[in-house]
Amino acid sequence: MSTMTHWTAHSVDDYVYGISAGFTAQIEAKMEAEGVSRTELAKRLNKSTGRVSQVLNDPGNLSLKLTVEYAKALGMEVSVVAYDGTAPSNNGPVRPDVFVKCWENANRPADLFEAEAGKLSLDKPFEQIASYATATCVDAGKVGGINYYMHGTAVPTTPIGIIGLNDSALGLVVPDPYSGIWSGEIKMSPPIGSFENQGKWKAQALPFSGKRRGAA
Amino acid sequence: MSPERIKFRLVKGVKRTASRAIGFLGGDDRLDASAEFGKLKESRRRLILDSMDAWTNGTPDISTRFHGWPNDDECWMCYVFKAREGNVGHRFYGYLCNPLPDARGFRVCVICTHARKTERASDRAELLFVKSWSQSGEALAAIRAGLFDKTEMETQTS
Repeated sequence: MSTMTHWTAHSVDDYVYGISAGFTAQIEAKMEAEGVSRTELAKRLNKSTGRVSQVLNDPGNLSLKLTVEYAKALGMEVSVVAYDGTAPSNNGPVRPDVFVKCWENANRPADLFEAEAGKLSLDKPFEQIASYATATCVDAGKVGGINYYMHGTAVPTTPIGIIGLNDSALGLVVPDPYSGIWSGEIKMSPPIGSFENQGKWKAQALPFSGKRRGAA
Repeated sequence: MSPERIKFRLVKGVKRTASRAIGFLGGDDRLDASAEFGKLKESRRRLILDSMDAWTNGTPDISTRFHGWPNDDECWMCYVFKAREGNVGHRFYGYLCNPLPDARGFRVCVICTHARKTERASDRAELLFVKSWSQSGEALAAIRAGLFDKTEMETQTS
């Protein structure tokens, strides 16, 4: 998107600080979501509130031991992830919550076999895929024709290699005259971050329930 | 024609994504965020940069680091980035806007002012001041120009 150099690229210290601060951002988000105060976290860690605040206010160079302690105290796990560095580097390292979101969207695979199974489901016949995904159809047009324009919310419930699963979707849907099932290609909109070219999958739409545009 | 008084500069080193960008508004004595950001201790500067990264990444608000006031009838567009230094809290106040009507969903965070806080709550006057800039046509023109300033982007590689 730009020719700038990301701030973490200036020195190893900057890079390390970025990783540490990305981790504590996850910790603080979890604390906020679960209503855990710094005092409560300190109690769980058997440390002083001041020490916990010091770490969260200025993460600096966190040790792996400390990251595990903080994560475990909040019921979380930790992985250190290294990945292909040939991806666009101007944007700095991919933030940890992006990896978490991808993992959650892939139905939290516990190993590479499960991760691969999620990927393979894309190649299954439509009927099988349809059982994994639904899309609420809220608008359609060209009644009497073949193609219907659809704008709705796609809510897949199992990995199909897609991002932004709860975002709005745009696509063409085609009703099957025998089964009444609406099917078609749906493209995520707006595209999300660097995933913008991966937005197509097949889904079954729930029965039409919206206003028809240009109905005959 | 006189050069524009108000300027918008993307924050050096923070990624701009297809959905979000963040920068400093300057050119008026009261718009002190950029100058004050440059004076921060390195660790606090890094923490704020990381928070800005998180925001452009799409990370939901974390009240201890960055957040808006989406439920405030008057100041719903205001936004703040925070870092603590001892008993003092650094606050960088700005507002969210979309200066590109053709890019639905695109958001720019326009950082305007800096404040040192010892109490938890934000100063209402600070938010209202920032809000006044969100309604400025001069600021909007500066933001649009700053987003596409190739020269500026290239200087950020140094």
